[in-house]
Amino acid sequence: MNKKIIIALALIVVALPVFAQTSSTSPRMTAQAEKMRMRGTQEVERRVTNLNKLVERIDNMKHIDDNQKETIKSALQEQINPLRVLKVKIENNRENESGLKEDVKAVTDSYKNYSLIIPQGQIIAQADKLSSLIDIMMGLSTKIQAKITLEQETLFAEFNSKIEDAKNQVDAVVSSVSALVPDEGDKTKMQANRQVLKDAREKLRVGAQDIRGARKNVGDIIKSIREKGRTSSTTPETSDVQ
Amino acid sequence: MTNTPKIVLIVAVIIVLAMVWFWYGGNNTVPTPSVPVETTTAVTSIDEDIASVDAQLNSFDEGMASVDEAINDTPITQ
Repeated sequence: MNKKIIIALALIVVALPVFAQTSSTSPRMTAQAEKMRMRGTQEVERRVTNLNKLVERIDNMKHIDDNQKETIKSALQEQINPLRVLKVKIENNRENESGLKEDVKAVTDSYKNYSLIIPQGQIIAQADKLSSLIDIMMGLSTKIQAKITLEQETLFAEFNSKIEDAKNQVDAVVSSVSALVPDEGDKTKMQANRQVLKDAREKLRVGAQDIRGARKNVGDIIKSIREKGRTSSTTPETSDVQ
Repeated sequence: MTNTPKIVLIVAVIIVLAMVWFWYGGNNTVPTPSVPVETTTAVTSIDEDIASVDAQLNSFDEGMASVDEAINDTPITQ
Protein backbone atom coordinates (compact mmCIF):
# COMPACT_ATOMS: atom_id res chain seq x y z
CA MET A 1 0.00 0.00 0.00
CA ASN A 2 2.90 2.35 0.82
CA LYS A 3 4.28 2.08 -2.70
CA LYS A 4 0.91 2.88 -4.20
CA ILE A 5 0.63 5.98 -2.04
CA ILE A 6 4.09 7.13 -3.10
CA ILE A 7 3.33 6.56 -6.79
CA ALA A 8 0.05 8.39 -6.39
CA LEU A 9 1.73 11.39 -4.86
CA ALA A 10 4.42 11.40 -7.51
CA LEU A 11 1.76 11.41 -10.21
CA ILE A 12 -0.06 14.41 -8.80
CA VAL A 13 2.99 16.56 -9.31
CA VAL A 14 2.24 17.90 -12.75
CA ALA A 15 3.90 20.93 -14.25
CA LEU A 16 1.74 24.00 -14.15
CA PRO A 17 1.97 26.15 -17.26
CA VAL A 18 3.93 29.21 -16.38
CA PHE A 19 3.54 32.59 -17.89
CA ALA A 20 4.03 34.67 -20.95
CA GLN A 21 4.10 38.34 -21.71
CA THR A 22 3.71 40.20 -24.96
CA SER A 23 4.79 43.54 -26.21
CA SER A 24 1.73 45.69 -26.75
CA THR A 25 1.37 48.39 -24.17
CA SER A 26 -1.34 50.81 -23.19
CA PRO A 27 -0.81 53.98 -21.20
CA ARG A 28 -3.50 53.26 -18.64
CA MET A 29 -5.25 50.15 -17.42
CA THR A 30 -8.99 50.04 -17.92
CA ALA A 31 -11.30 49.28 -14.98
CA GLN A 32 -11.88 45.88 -16.53
CA ALA A 33 -8.16 45.19 -16.55
CA GLU A 34 -7.90 46.21 -12.90
CA LYS A 35 -10.69 43.80 -12.07
CA MET A 36 -8.89 41.09 -14.03
CA ARG A 37 -5.68 41.81 -12.10
CA MET A 38 -7.48 41.57 -8.77
CA ARG A 39 -9.12 38.27 -9.67
CA GLY A 40 -5.88 36.85 -11.03
CA THR A 41 -4.01 37.78 -7.86
CA GLN A 42 -6.72 36.36 -5.62
CA GLU A 43 -6.81 33.13 -7.59
CA VAL A 44 -3.03 32.66 -7.34
CA GLU A 45 -3.12 33.40 -3.58
CA ARG A 46 -5.94 30.92 -3.12
CA ARG A 47 -4.11 28.17 -4.99
CA VAL A 48 -0.82 28.78 -3.20
CA THR A 49 -2.65 28.58 0.14
CA ASN A 50 -4.28 25.29 -0.82
CA LEU A 51 -1.04 23.81 -2.18
CA ASN A 52 0.68 24.77 1.08
CA LYS A 53 -2.09 23.08 3.05
CA LEU A 54 -1.52 19.97 0.96
CA VAL A 55 2.20 20.10 1.72
CA GLU A 56 1.27 20.22 5.42
CA ARG A 57 -0.99 17.20 5.05
CA ILE A 58 1.74 15.26 3.29
CA ASP A 59 4.03 16.13 6.19
CA ASN A 60 1.55 14.45 8.53
CA MET A 61 1.25 11.25 6.49
CA LYS A 62 2.28 8.11 8.37
CA HIS A 63 2.76 5.53 5.65
CA ILE A 64 5.68 7.16 3.84
CA ASP A 65 9.14 7.92 5.25
CA ASP A 66 10.77 11.34 5.70
CA ASN A 67 12.86 11.15 2.51
CA GLN A 68 9.81 10.36 0.40
CA LYS A 69 7.90 13.17 2.06
CA GLU A 70 10.69 15.62 1.27
CA THR A 71 10.75 14.55 -2.38
CA ILE A 72 7.01 15.07 -2.74
CA LYS A 73 7.02 18.32 -0.82
CA SER A 74 9.82 19.81 -2.89
CA ALA A 75 8.00 18.74 -6.06
CA LEU A 76 4.87 20.52 -4.84
CA GLN A 77 7.00 23.52 -3.97
CA GLU A 78 8.10 23.57 -7.60
CA GLN A 79 4.44 24.07 -8.48
CA ILE A 80 3.99 26.82 -5.93
CA ASN A 81 7.01 28.89 -6.97
CA PRO A 82 5.91 29.65 -10.58
CA LEU A 83 2.52 30.74 -9.23
CA ARG A 84 4.25 33.17 -6.89
CA VAL A 85 6.32 34.55 -9.77
CA LEU A 86 3.14 34.91 -11.81
CA LYS A 87 1.45 36.79 -8.99
CA VAL A 88 4.31 39.29 -8.77
CA LYS A 89 4.10 39.82 -12.54
CA ILE A 90 0.35 40.42 -12.40
CA GLU A 91 0.67 42.80 -9.47
CA ASN A 92 3.48 44.81 -10.99
CA ASN A 93 2.15 45.08 -14.54
CA ARG A 94 0.47 48.48 -14.53
CA GLU A 95 0.82 49.33 -18.21
CA ASN A 96 0.81 46.30 -20.45
CA GLU A 97 -2.84 45.26 -20.58
CA SER A 98 -2.47 42.49 -23.15
CA GLY A 99 0.47 41.09 -21.16
CA LEU A 100 -1.72 41.15 -18.07
CA LYS A 101 -4.45 39.32 -19.99
CA GLU A 102 -1.99 36.62 -20.99
CA ASP A 103 -0.71 36.24 -17.44
CA VAL A 104 -4.24 35.90 -16.08
CA LYS A 105 -5.00 33.47 -18.89
CA ALA A 106 -1.97 31.43 -17.82
CA VAL A 107 -3.50 31.27 -14.34
CA THR A 108 -6.82 30.14 -15.80
CA ASP A 109 -5.19 27.58 -18.11
CA SER A 110 -3.18 26.04 -15.29
CA TYR A 111 -6.39 25.37 -13.38
CA LYS A 112 -6.98 22.09 -15.25
CA ASN A 113 -3.85 20.70 -13.58
CA TYR A 114 -4.50 22.28 -10.21
CA SER A 115 -8.09 21.02 -10.16
CA LEU A 116 -6.72 17.48 -10.33
CA ILE A 117 -3.67 17.85 -8.08
CA ILE A 118 -5.54 19.21 -5.09
CA PRO A 119 -8.34 16.61 -4.79
CA GLN A 120 -5.89 13.83 -5.74
CA GLY A 121 -3.53 14.85 -2.95
CA GLN A 122 -6.28 15.39 -0.39
CA ILE A 123 -7.83 12.00 -1.18
CA ILE A 124 -4.48 10.17 -0.96
CA ALA A 125 -3.70 11.90 2.35
CA GLN A 126 -7.12 10.90 3.61
CA ALA A 127 -6.51 7.29 2.50
CA ASP A 128 -3.31 7.43 4.54
CA LYS A 129 -5.33 8.46 7.61
CA LEU A 130 -7.70 5.57 7.03
CA SER A 131 -4.70 3.23 6.74
CA SER A 132 -3.52 4.40 10.18
CA LEU A 133 -6.94 3.61 11.61
CA ILE A 134 -6.86 0.19 9.99
CA ASP A 135 -3.43 -0.45 11.55
CA ILE A 136 -4.80 0.28 15.04
CA MET A 137 -7.85 -1.89 14.39
CA MET A 138 -5.69 -4.79 13.22
CA GLY A 139 -3.65 -4.46 16.40
CA LEU A 140 -6.87 -4.51 18.40
CA SER A 141 -7.98 -7.61 16.55
CA THR A 142 -4.84 -9.45 17.67
CA LYS A 143 -5.23 -8.28 21.27
CA ILE A 144 -8.90 -9.21 21.45
CA GLN A 145 -8.52 -12.57 19.74
CA ALA A 146 -6.75 -14.01 22.78
CA LYS A 147 -9.58 -12.96 25.09
CA ILE A 148 -12.81 -13.79 23.28
CA THR A 149 -15.04 -16.73 24.06
CA LEU A 150 -17.76 -18.39 21.97
CA GLU A 151 -20.19 -15.65 22.99
CA GLN A 152 -18.15 -12.94 21.26
CA GLU A 153 -17.13 -14.91 18.17
CA THR A 154 -19.86 -13.58 15.88
CA LEU A 155 -19.12 -9.98 16.83
CA PHE A 156 -15.42 -10.61 16.40
CA ALA A 157 -15.94 -12.06 12.90
CA GLU A 158 -18.05 -9.00 12.03
CA PHE A 159 -15.32 -6.73 13.40
CA ASN A 160 -12.62 -8.40 11.28
CA SER A 161 -14.80 -8.37 8.18
CA LYS A 162 -15.32 -4.60 8.52
CA ILE A 163 -11.60 -3.99 8.85
CA GLU A 164 -11.00 -6.11 5.76
CA ASP A 165 -13.57 -4.11 3.82
CA ALA A 166 -12.00 -0.83 4.95
CA LYS A 167 -8.65 -2.11 3.66
CA ASN A 168 -10.22 -2.96 0.31
CA GLN A 169 -11.74 0.52 0.10
CA VAL A 170 -8.35 2.16 0.76
CA ASP A 171 -6.62 -0.02 -1.85
CA ALA A 172 -9.30 0.84 -4.42
CA VAL A 173 -9.05 4.56 -3.64
CA VAL A 174 -5.26 4.64 -3.98
CA SER A 175 -5.13 2.64 -7.20
CA SER A 176 -7.95 4.55 -8.93
CA VAL A 177 -6.86 8.05 -7.92
CA SER A 178 -3.18 7.46 -8.59
CA ALA A 179 -3.99 6.49 -12.19
CA LEU A 180 -5.53 9.87 -13.00
CA VAL A 181 -3.78 12.27 -15.38
CA PRO A 182 -4.66 15.90 -16.22
CA ASP A 183 -7.43 16.27 -18.80
CA GLU A 184 -5.49 18.83 -20.95
CA GLY A 185 -8.75 20.54 -21.80
CA ASP A 186 -10.56 17.36 -22.88
CA LYS A 187 -14.04 17.72 -21.37
CA THR A 188 -14.83 13.99 -21.56
CA LYS A 189 -11.65 13.19 -19.71
CA MET A 190 -12.34 15.95 -17.21
CA GLN A 191 -15.74 14.46 -16.44
CA ALA A 192 -14.25 10.96 -16.17
CA ASN A 193 -11.57 12.25 -13.76
CA ARG A 194 -14.18 14.01 -11.71
CA GLN A 195 -16.25 10.84 -11.49
CA VAL A 196 -13.23 8.83 -10.30
CA LEU A 197 -12.55 11.46 -7.63
CA LYS A 198 -16.17 11.37 -6.50
CA ASP A 199 -16.16 7.55 -6.40
CA ALA A 200 -12.95 7.64 -4.37
CA ARG A 201 -14.56 10.08 -1.98
CA GLU A 202 -17.46 7.66 -1.57
CA LYS A 203 -15.06 4.75 -0.94
CA LEU A 204 -13.34 6.78 1.77
CA ARG A 205 -16.72 7.40 3.35
CA VAL A 206 -17.57 3.68 3.23
CA GLY A 207 -14.14 2.80 4.67
CA ALA A 208 -14.66 5.21 7.56
CA GLN A 209 -18.12 3.76 8.09
CA ASP A 210 -16.51 0.31 8.31
CA ILE A 211 -14.10 1.58 10.96
CA ARG A 212 -16.97 3.13 12.93
CA GLY A 213 -18.84 -0.18 12.75
CA ALA A 214 -15.74 -2.08 13.85
CA ARG A 215 -15.26 0.43 16.67
CA LYS A 216 -18.78 -0.33 17.88
CA ASN A 217 -18.09 -4.08 17.59
CA VAL A 218 -14.94 -3.84 19.67
CA GLY A 219 -16.79 -1.82 22.32
CA ASP A 220 -19.51 -4.48 22.51
CA ILE A 221 -16.94 -7.30 22.63
CA ILE A 222 -15.02 -5.70 25.51
CA LYS A 223 -18.25 -4.98 27.38
CA SER A 224 -19.35 -8.58 26.96
CA ILE A 225 -16.00 -9.95 28.14
CA ARG A 226 -16.00 -7.68 31.20
CA GLU A 227 -19.60 -8.47 32.12
CA LYS A 228 -18.92 -12.19 31.81
CA GLY A 229 -15.88 -11.72 34.03
CA ARG A 230 -17.91 -9.96 36.71
CA THR A 231 -20.56 -12.69 36.84
CA SER A 232 -18.03 -15.50 36.90
CA SER A 233 -16.31 -16.64 40.07
CA THR A 234 -13.11 -17.39 38.16
CA THR A 235 -12.26 -14.25 36.29
CA PRO A 236 -9.01 -14.77 34.43
CA GLU A 237 -9.96 -12.93 31.25
CA THR A 238 -11.63 -9.96 32.96
CA SER A 239 -8.49 -8.71 34.58
CA ASP A 240 -6.73 -8.86 31.21
CA VAL A 241 -9.17 -6.55 29.44
CA GLN A 242 -8.53 -3.37 31.41
CA MET B 1 57.25 -27.11 46.59
CA THR B 2 55.73 -26.11 49.92
CA ASN B 3 52.01 -25.58 50.35
CA THR B 4 52.13 -21.77 50.40
CA PRO B 5 53.46 -21.23 46.85
CA LYS B 6 51.01 -23.88 45.61
CA ILE B 7 48.08 -22.01 47.14
CA VAL B 8 49.34 -18.69 45.74
CA LEU B 9 49.65 -20.28 42.27
CA ILE B 10 46.14 -21.76 42.44
CA VAL B 11 44.65 -18.45 43.62
CA ALA B 12 46.48 -16.62 40.82
CA VAL B 13 45.15 -19.08 38.22
CA ILE B 14 41.62 -18.69 39.63
CA ILE B 15 41.89 -14.89 39.47
CA VAL B 16 43.13 -15.02 35.85
CA LEU B 17 40.33 -17.41 34.88
CA ALA B 18 37.79 -15.17 36.61
CA MET B 19 39.07 -12.15 34.72
CA VAL B 20 38.94 -14.04 31.42
CA TRP B 21 35.40 -15.19 32.18
CA PHE B 22 34.35 -11.68 33.16
CA TRP B 23 35.81 -10.14 30.04
CA TYR B 24 34.72 -12.67 27.43
CA GLY B 25 31.67 -14.12 29.11
CA GLY B 26 30.06 -11.95 31.74
CA ASN B 27 30.99 -8.62 30.16
CA ASN B 28 29.64 -9.66 26.77
CA THR B 29 26.27 -10.59 28.21
CA VAL B 30 25.50 -6.89 28.65
CA PRO B 31 22.57 -6.12 26.29
CA THR B 32 23.81 -4.82 22.95
CA PRO B 33 22.55 -1.42 21.81
CA SER B 34 21.72 -2.74 18.34
CA VAL B 35 18.21 -3.85 19.29
CA PRO B 36 15.85 -3.02 16.40
CA VAL B 37 13.78 0.11 17.03
CA GLU B 38 10.56 -1.79 16.39
CA THR B 39 11.03 -3.96 19.46
CA THR B 40 11.05 -0.88 21.69
CA THR B 41 7.59 0.29 20.51
CA ALA B 42 5.34 0.81 23.49
CA VAL B 43 2.53 -1.70 23.78
CA THR B 44 -0.75 0.16 24.14
CA SER B 45 -3.76 -1.18 26.02
CA ILE B 46 -7.05 -1.97 24.33
CA ASP B 47 -8.63 1.10 25.94
CA GLU B 48 -5.82 3.33 24.68
CA ASP B 49 -6.23 1.92 21.18
CA ILE B 50 -9.97 2.60 21.27
CA ALA B 51 -9.40 6.16 22.45
CA SER B 52 -6.92 6.64 19.62
CA VAL B 53 -9.44 5.32 17.08
CA ASP B 54 -12.06 7.79 18.35
CA ALA B 55 -9.65 10.71 18.11
CA GLN B 56 -8.45 9.71 14.64
CA LEU B 57 -11.99 9.26 13.38
CA ASN B 58 -12.72 12.88 14.35
CA SER B 59 -9.60 14.00 12.54
CA PHE B 60 -10.65 11.90 9.53
CA ASP B 61 -14.01 13.72 9.39
CA GLU B 62 -12.22 17.05 9.33
CA GLY B 63 -10.06 15.77 6.47
CA MET B 64 -13.17 14.79 4.51
CA ALA B 65 -14.25 18.45 4.54
CA SER B 66 -10.98 19.30 2.75
CA VAL B 67 -11.63 16.52 0.21
CA ASP B 68 -15.12 17.87 -0.51
CA GLU B 69 -13.76 21.39 -0.83
CA ALA B 70 -11.07 20.18 -3.27
CA ILE B 71 -13.50 18.18 -5.43
CA ASN B 72 -16.00 21.06 -5.63
CA ASP B 73 -13.38 23.77 -6.15
CA THR B 74 -14.17 26.66 -8.52
CA PRO B 75 -11.57 29.16 -9.73
CA ILE B 76 -12.02 32.89 -9.16
CA THR B 77 -10.82 33.71 -12.68
CA GLN B 78 -13.54 31.75 -14.48
